[in-house]
Amino acid sequence: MAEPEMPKVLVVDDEPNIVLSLEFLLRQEGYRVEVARDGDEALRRARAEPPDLVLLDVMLPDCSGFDVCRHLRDLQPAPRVILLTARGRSVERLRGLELGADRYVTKPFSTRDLMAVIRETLQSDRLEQDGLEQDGLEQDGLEQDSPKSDPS
Amino acid sequence: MSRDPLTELEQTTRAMRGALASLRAAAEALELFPAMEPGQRARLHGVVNEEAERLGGMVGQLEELVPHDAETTPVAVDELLALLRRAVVERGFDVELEPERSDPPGARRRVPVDRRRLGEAARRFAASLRRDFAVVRCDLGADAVDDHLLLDWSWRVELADQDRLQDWQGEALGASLRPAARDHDGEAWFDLDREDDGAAGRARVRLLLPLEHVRADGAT
Repeated sequence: MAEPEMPKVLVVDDEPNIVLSLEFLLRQEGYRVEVARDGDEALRRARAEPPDLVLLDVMLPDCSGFDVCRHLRDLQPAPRVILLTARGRSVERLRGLELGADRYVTKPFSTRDLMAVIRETLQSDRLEQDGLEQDGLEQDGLEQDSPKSDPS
Repeated sequence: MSRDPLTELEQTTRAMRGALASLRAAAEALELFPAMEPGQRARLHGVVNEEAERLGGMVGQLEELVPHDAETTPVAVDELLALLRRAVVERGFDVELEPERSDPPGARRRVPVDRRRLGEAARRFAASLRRDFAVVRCDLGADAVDDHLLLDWSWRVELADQDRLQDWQGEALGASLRPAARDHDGEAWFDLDREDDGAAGRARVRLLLPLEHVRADGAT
């Protein structure tokens, strides 16, 4: 029996240096990786071949990551979305989560923790597909949030 | 670039978070996978160096936002050249003091300057120039012109970069040396000599600063 295909992660960020490291680390974890430098390219790639998860920077050169997140949520099937942001304000976090992001991670993050959040987010996706309920996951040492743990 | 301090503080801290994220991710990748192939290792080391340098420039921007009382003191021309040279060297430049001009007629006269303000502006401009055009060598020289000192900061520029440099310089100077020069009742501007050797030209930032007033009896 063939091995199940590893999940595909789309990294959306216009900073080449962070993309270089994230792409390398994700490939080491066995994920299939695609990269987009702006919102338009991200949506084109996501529509052409939907990823399982999108690592989405909030500040993109052509539009806001929040707008991209909203469009991603309209796709069928909709990918999981982890927003990456250099802004730590609560209002930004809430906005991202209201728009349907699964997680909100503030830069600078630990890549070990980020990889754990990616695994958990994808795992929760599988559990939901299996009809199981999954509570919001919390990760110590990483400023991130999920809709289910949000007080609003 | 906005000169509103709060907006600039927000932009700078956001950029710092981005640079720290890139630096941390590269360092962790190097730590986690010590046996990675040499090309990848070199690229990640390049990220660490580049982001550390970017962060250094951003710290300088933050320092400039901290309110401080201007301390204007008269410095000799050669001392001013040394101050600017130090600032530029700190940003990774190799600096030549132009031999025929580093001891100009104004050398024994003095220029009232806020060392911190001028040094920070020079560091900031140097960091932008290195980041955006990979320039690492430049010349510094000075001439006394009537009651002003004309400082020249020049570097070689490839033909292919000249138009981009012309577009870039307005914003780069506006965020660094131009406001600093104006704070000293001076001026800063850019010019480009496109006919150096055909393949390259010479770019030059000129700073005009008032010399200390000297009375006829020699007193200041």
